[in-house]
Amino acid sequence: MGIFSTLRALARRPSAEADLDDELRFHLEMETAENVRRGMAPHEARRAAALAFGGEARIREECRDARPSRPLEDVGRDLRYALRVLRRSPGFAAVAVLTLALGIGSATAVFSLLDGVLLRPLPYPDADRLFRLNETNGGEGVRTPSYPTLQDWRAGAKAFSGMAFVRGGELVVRGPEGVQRLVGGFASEEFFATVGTKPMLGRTFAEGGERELVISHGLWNREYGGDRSVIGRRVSTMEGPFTIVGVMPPGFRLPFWADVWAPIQALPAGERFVLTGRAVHADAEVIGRAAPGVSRERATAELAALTARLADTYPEPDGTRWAGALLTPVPETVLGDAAERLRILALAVGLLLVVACVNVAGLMLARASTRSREVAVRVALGAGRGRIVRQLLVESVVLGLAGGALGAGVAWIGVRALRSSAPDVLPRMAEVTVDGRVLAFAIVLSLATALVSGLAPALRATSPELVQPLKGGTAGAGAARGAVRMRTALVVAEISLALVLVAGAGLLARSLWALNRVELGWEPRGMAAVRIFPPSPRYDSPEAAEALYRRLHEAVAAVPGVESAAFANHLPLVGGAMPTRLIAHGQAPPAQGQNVLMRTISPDYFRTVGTRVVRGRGLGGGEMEGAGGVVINETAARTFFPGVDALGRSVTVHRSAQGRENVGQPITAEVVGIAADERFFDLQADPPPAVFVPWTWDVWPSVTLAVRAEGDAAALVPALRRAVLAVDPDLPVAGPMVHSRWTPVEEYVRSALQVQRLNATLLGVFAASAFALAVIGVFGVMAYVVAQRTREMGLRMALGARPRDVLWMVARQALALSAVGIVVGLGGAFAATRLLRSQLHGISATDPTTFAAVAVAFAGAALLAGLLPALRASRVDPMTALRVD
Amino acid sequence: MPAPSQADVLQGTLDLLILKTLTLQPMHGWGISQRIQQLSRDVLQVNQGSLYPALHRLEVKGWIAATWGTSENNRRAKFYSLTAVGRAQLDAETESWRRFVGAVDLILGSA
Repeated sequence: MGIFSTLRALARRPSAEADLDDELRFHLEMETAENVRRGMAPHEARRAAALAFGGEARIREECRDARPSRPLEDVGRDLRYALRVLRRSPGFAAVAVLTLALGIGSATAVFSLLDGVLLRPLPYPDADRLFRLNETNGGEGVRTPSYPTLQDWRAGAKAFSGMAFVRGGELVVRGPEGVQRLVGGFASEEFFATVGTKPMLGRTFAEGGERELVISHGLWNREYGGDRSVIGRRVSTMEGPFTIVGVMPPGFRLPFWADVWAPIQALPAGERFVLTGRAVHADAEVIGRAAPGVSRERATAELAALTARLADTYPEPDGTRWAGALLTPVPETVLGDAAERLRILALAVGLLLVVACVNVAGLMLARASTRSREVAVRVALGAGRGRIVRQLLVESVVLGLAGGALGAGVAWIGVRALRSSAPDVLPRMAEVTVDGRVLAFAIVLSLATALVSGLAPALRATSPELVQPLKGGTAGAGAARGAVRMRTALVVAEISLALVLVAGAGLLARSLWALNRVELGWEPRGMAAVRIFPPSPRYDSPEAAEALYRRLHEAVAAVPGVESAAFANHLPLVGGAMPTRLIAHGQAPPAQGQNVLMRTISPDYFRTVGTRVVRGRGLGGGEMEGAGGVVINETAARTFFPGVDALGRSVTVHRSAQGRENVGQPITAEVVGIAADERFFDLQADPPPAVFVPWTWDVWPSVTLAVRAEGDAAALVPALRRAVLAVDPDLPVAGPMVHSRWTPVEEYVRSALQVQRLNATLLGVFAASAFALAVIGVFGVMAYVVAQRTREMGLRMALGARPRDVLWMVARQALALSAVGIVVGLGGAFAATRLLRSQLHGISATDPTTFAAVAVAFAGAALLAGLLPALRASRVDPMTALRVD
Repeated sequence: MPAPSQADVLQGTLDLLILKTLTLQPMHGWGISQRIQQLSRDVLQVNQGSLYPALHRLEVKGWIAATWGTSENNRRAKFYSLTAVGRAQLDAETESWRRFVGAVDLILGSA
């Protein structure tokens, strides 16, 4: 039957019903008239006609059956009936819809993350052939190849169809809030061809187009309001004028920091050393596209062979052989551990959803027993079991869709809130939306949920055993016991699933707590910092940079409310890092390698940052001028001078400021102090070994300023900004990069924990919901059990049992029920929390304290949920209870 | 139950009889039942419980078409008429009915 005839029939249904009435009435009248003609009395004639006609209702039904729209009409009728029934029990409907909304909403929100971050293709065609290329030293060392190396690679490699180099860089532009930095890349000319992504607007660089600029979709929206006429616009920067020629599509971030791309020929004068320096291995990314049909292994082998040859031709000053190659798939570099984190979230919402379904199934089961009379009547009136099951399923579908609609709303709000409050907590967050795909998922999920939670109760409600009540009065004891058994099983399942979630959330919460109390080795509170990248070429020479840093330090230290001010090449957590090779004289080089963090610092560094000098002294003014000495941190002392005192020993470090003529030159000095270890890259990783040298020894091309405030650091920010701009209004202290603005350093600590906080918060919310649902489930079953046994309790009390005995009887049952759930749940938790291991810090994935606390919480809550109805029952007057029926 | 002097229309043959009846002229439901009874010299009694569902079924299949008209005594009545598809179907069904009856006769005759 075609869909059109079905729909036509459906549209004509009201008139079809009237026509049927007319047709049958006409028949009866004709028959009556015929009977009268044969000589019957009129009323006799009508009776005979009706008799001959037979059961009119059945004929009508069969005529309706002939209509193609019949199945749809039935669903419509079921739907109307379902709505009427649900309107009559708004409490049940509300609880069921809210429970489902919770489950479906959380699952939909997590699906939209999963979809936006993992499932949707990256905007790079054939992304599986796109790799980030690095050199390796055979050990753990991985570095970015220099631009000359890339050119040699490109000349020799056959396994690649393209290779490109992007030097991280910035363009300093004058904006409404002052000078700001646009962070981007200076890309070699094959870059866009290698990546293969077409621009959304305009074009990419033309050959020889030196002063051209391609901008990201994000920057286009942020700075140019999504104006399509931006193509051809001139942008004047400190590095000279550029013309915008293209806008990349949304999600194109390669390398991940880039907001603008300029041709590598446009590198500012102070950065041009990149083009020739074989020793420059920082702030760049090399992208390669494997030729079609070439495996990752073959491409790696070919590149490694080329690299080995280069290592022989250009030996490193320190004797390290960088002769290996590492290919990291670009999707992996974009997604990081997002897949693993999302898998944990997906598992968590999956559990919550199942708990929600089980809870609703329990509710429906409870309702089924109160509706057994209605079902019995309908069966008696001739409804088949299939028909009634369908009716009950339509009811749960209505609940499921209502829950799904509400849940989609919850997901929409949740995803928006997450995107605005934590835009970097996952990669590709800007691409996460609640769209048609996500809504389709929510609808499918609603229907599946409805079937899962509705089918068992519907079958149960229509089981012949239960359809007895019309004959007796109340449901038989056996049937009631069956229903209790089923509901008990559901509640046990709920408890065990919820326990897995709560245990996981507990572990994450304790891990977050441990991280919050981690010993940083320095004091972010009361501190503010900014990274300043002085515009080229004015400050390219070390002398110019040195003079600028002195003036900046003076200006910032003079700001009222500043207790002390200092500067360094890099600050912990604020960003930036550069290694140097440290040689400890008279000691064997440590097995882990000789690299330590190169920290160039001004005299008040330790006081300002709050890093303790454990032994010896810090670097005062004397060290800055003369041949004073260096400070190493405890990890460096332990690693380079195992078992001996490092103080007073002599070490050699190498200048490492990029682009300086003296880069790589050794400095030998005495260790005059040992500083406490600083957590540097994040809060989890062990502090790296570091050496602190006077800043004047290796004047860095950029600088990080830090102040310690007498009071609130945030309050000083405007004055600090003015102080910097008073030194030179062209210094960029604005823009989208947080470290390009004066920022209280506590914010860096906060954002270092944002992933952990989000994990703990989301899992906490899911776990709390599951816990609440499980407790409600226990309460529901116990209330039912108590109601069933009210008579028995009355009888016991009439025979002399004290209320306490009755209470204990019920409590025992609640405890037994939860004990099973807890044991099963603990088993599940032991298996499942393993997945969390990589997200935990300072706590084992099967931490006994957490598990015990969770088990006790569940037992306690189950006991309370059981005692509440029991308390009511124990207060019942025995005589009333006995008179129940 | 004593042997009936009147037979109920055999299941499955009702469609055939309806189609045949309608070859003469469009007719309403009551008319069809009367005509079948009359043509069969009162041997065949159309069970009205099956007649109307059968009519509706045939109408959905497109073998007969229905229009509302006025009956002999000026009442609004639903008239059924044979469509081209129905006519072809009638020929096919008649043919297969004849073959069936012939076959049954052969067997009954041989005994």
